Amino acid sequence: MYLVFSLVMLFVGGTMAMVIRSELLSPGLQFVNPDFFNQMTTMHALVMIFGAIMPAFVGLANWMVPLMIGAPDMALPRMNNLSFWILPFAFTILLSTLFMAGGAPAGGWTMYPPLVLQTGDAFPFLIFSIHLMGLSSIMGAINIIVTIINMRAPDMSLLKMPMFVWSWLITAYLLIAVMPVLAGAVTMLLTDQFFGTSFFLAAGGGDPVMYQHIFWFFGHPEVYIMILPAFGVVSEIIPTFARKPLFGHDSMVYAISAIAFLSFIVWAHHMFTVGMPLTGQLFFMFATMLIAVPTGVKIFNWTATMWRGAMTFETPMLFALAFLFLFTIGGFSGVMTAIVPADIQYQDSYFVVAHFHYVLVPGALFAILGAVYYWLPKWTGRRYDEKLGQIHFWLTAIFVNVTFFPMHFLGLAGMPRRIPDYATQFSDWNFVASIGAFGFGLSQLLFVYIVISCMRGRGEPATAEVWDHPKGLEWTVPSPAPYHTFEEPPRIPSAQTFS
Amino acid sequence: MKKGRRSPGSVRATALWLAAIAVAIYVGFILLGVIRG
Repeated sequence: MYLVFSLVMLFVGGTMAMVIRSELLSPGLQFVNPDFFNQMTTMHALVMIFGAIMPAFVGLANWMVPLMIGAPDMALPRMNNLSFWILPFAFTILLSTLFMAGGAPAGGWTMYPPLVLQTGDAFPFLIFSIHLMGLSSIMGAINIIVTIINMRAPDMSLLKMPMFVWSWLITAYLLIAVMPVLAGAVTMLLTDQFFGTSFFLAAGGGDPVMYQHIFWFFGHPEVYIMILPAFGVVSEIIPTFARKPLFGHDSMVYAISAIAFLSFIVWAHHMFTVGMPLTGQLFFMFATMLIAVPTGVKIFNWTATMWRGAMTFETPMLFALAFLFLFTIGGFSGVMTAIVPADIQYQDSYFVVAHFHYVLVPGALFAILGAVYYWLPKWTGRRYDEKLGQIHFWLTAIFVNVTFFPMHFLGLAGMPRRIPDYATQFSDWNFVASIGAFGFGLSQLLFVYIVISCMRGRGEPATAEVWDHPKGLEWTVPSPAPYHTFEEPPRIPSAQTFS
Repeated sequence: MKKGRRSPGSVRATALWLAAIAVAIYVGFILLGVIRG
């Protein structure tokens, strides 16, 4: 249900992206007025982050974590149900703001005061829906941690756990640590607006920059909440199709833990231009660059896993490989933006838009698509059409680059982000990016067709193993997996680690 | 619960601890705002 919900939200957020790219297809104002354009950029981000990427990974965790650790189901099924059903309500509230007086929130997903306090009737609904999303995430995270800690097969020690389970354990701790921070920040916004407080209002002695600090103390770990499970997925897919065990399983665990720790001490790199002391700039610059070390360990380990492996290139593997190449591009532009003097130039330009879309689309989204192809036969009992899967991959991979790569050039040439109109010198690359975006959006309809075909029982029946001798407990149960698995805890050979 | 699994009490205790941590962080950050704001 999480996965279906996130697919629907992917298309809702995608439609908003199409509105944005239609407006930016050529210079001048064509289709929408500037205020509505700003509503679209804000809502696109909120819907994609909280409605598409996060619920998709929670959905994968709900389905796969119990199977991978040898548990019958999640530890707290009722809380699971509640945490899911909060989401449709939260997003109905959020999307209904499009029809309210003053329109939807338009101050950006970061909701910086004092701008966000100018939102019309939508403001309290925005705050309420953010609280609901946070509540849902925290409950989901509690459930995942409790399941992993308490429900593992008796022989499965922590360091024997598959990487996807490890990545989710760490992500869930991150969620519990930072979602309350966001809730606290938006609660203070609410009281500033309606109850006469001045947490962030300079006129009342408050500090608007403090909001930015608090928001990004949530916001940067949030980036890793969206990417660590992707690391887990890729660490499952690559060993299966390279037919080798994951190189450096334990070092992967330590690398993910290091990334999670570092994510708490780099938040101010999102706000280098607020006028912080030089020592602060230097600290946050070097701390940010340090993240490249554990990330490099992971990229090295994935590459070493493939080294001299008997590789085949089915659709999940193609998505995992594209993840490796394209996420690294996003990582490199991240190191570029971490350099303070350079960042002052990149700040608020399309270069930043290019950077985070490379991290989130060929990063997080490709991992989700790869995971769906990888586990779809296990869920539905049917193999997807490999040829269509490959076509979907190539269309997606080509269009994603056509869409987002030109944004680097636009940013470096000085095009600011969050604008509905631009100077004519930017028109060529904007045209290319818009065409890429339309192609990318249309290609995803093929994905929906492939998934629905499997769900409706078309395609060859899948065996329990599905792939060529993959490792992991999920491949020991029949396809489709029964509602409750491992009523008797499975026994695991003492030397075996998974993935 | 089958043999070999942790007890329901242990599951509940872990969940309550985690929920308490989340609430403490929420209250803590608002208090931070009160002190600094």
